[in-house]
Amino acid sequence: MVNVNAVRRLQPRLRHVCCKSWRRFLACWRNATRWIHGESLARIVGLSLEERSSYGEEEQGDHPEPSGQVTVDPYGFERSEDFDYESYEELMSEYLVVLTRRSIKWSKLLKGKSKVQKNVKLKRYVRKGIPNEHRAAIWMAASGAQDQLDKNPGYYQSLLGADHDSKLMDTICTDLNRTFPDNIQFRKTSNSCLLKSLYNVLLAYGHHNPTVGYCQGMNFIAGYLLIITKDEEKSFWLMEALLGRILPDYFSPAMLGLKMDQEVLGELVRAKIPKMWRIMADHNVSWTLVVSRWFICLYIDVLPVETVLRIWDCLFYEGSKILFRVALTLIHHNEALIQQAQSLPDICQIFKQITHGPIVDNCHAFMQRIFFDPGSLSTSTLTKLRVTCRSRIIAEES
Amino acid sequence: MAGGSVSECKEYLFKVLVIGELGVGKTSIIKRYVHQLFSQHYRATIGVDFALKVINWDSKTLVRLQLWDIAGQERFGNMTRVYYKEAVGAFVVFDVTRGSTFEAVSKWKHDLDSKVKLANGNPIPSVLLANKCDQKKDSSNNTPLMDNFCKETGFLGWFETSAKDNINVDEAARFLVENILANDKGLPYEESNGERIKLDQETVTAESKSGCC
Repeated sequence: MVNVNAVRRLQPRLRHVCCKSWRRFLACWRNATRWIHGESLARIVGLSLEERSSYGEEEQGDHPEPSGQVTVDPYGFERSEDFDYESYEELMSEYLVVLTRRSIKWSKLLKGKSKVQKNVKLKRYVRKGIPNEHRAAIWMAASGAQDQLDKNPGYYQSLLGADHDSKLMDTICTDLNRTFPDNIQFRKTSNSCLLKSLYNVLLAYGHHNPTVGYCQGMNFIAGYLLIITKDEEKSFWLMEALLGRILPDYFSPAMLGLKMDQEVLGELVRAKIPKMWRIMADHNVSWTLVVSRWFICLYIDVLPVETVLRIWDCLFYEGSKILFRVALTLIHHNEALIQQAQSLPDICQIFKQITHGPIVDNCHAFMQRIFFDPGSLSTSTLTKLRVTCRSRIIAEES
Repeated sequence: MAGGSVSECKEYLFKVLVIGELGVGKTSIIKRYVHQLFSQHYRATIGVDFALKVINWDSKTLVRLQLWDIAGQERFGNMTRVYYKEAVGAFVVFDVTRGSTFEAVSKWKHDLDSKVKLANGNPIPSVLLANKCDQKKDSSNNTPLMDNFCKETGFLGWFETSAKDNINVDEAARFLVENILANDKGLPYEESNGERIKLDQETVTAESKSGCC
């Protein structure tokens, strides 16, 4: 049997994970081909081309895979011309093992359950990454979005049916084509175009929460939610969970929550990485200049897609504290580089630079780092700092 | 030059703001000017971004322009006071295909003047850019109207620009820098708003030599 032989020849670590079930292996394989081209995958895991194609014929029918490299990632984002396929494949050969193992564990955990309970084990599972097939459901459950959806049937549709503010509609329209122009799902020419859904979710939210209305940055967030859930109503309720409960008031006209969290980050840097704080102070760099995008976009378009999704897993489960852990890790890890800065433009440039590279590409290792590198960060510390910073800002502005 | 009396090369660093309603093409203008590129695929700018352009103004003057690309949505404006600090010039951009973006120009100009001033208390020099002129529908001549508008609102002048077709972007920048330089020269050194670094000829020569390898 080709099946048995194929599994036997897998890269040892992957074999260990997959050997229990051929069906499971096939599911993992199907998942993995979303990431890299089958040929590269076969090479990485140690399968011969024949074995791969025999699997391909029986599982996928006669849809030949395109030859060469996959120029679009699993979420529809086009890879840049200088995308480093070699490093990516090397990274993926490791990460596929993780993904496969996690996928099996999650299937077991969720088997026969219609609801998940928040507990220490689930938290640990979430930190290690929610498999894409369960991501939408776990985000919905952990954030309370599912409860809201269940309690308010038809509410989303009623928002869409209402009379809308024309200024709100105009502003959203201006940003539609400027949301993910590099994603094939956000192009007018795409078969399954998400632009109309993006418009609907943003319009519904703006109508639901007229104080916030629409703020730039929300387009990116709604876009990611649609990519993952593939469902407008779920995206709306996840948006509502984020803006209404998980994040402070980042998007309201005064953006007080955003200013507050930028200041809080400054205070945390001052306490944990004092040298860094001094450098920023010496060059007269305000935090808003370098980190406002980190907070407003929840790291979208700042860090690699997969890393962002792993951060969001924790964001929906644990709350906004995770955003500080990420920021502190980035700053902490690049201390030496930031110290070399000679001027304000230098610092701005370096803060852009530190969100790229191997450390953030390797999302699994990065997620382990963020819970270790910045040290302890208790909820009570964060709450206190937020209170202090908020009143400081209000005093300064009045 | 023949006299050999020039022993000094001046280097200037100017911070210039690019502001205006969302989607008018601020990022496109900057990318066109700095990288000679245009793309339909820019994402909306969040917060602030900036780019650096080095201009060999003349044989004795090097100008480094720091262009600050500021998000167009009004609520970001509440946060951007800090970005305006030490700016010595500005472009206010509107989109000729969307009348509402022109209506907002006065608001942007007013906001600019309230947030930053030259050391002598005057408003910083600003130029109005009527962008996306490649898509203009009517060909009517509104030059007198625009000239008048600029006079009333306090702009030095205006240009019809197209970042897409590379129309007037360099010209507008040159015009603004000329005015910034004139301001800078008209002020005693201490009061000058632009950061000025004086280098003697030797340093510059050494620098350009090392740049060749």
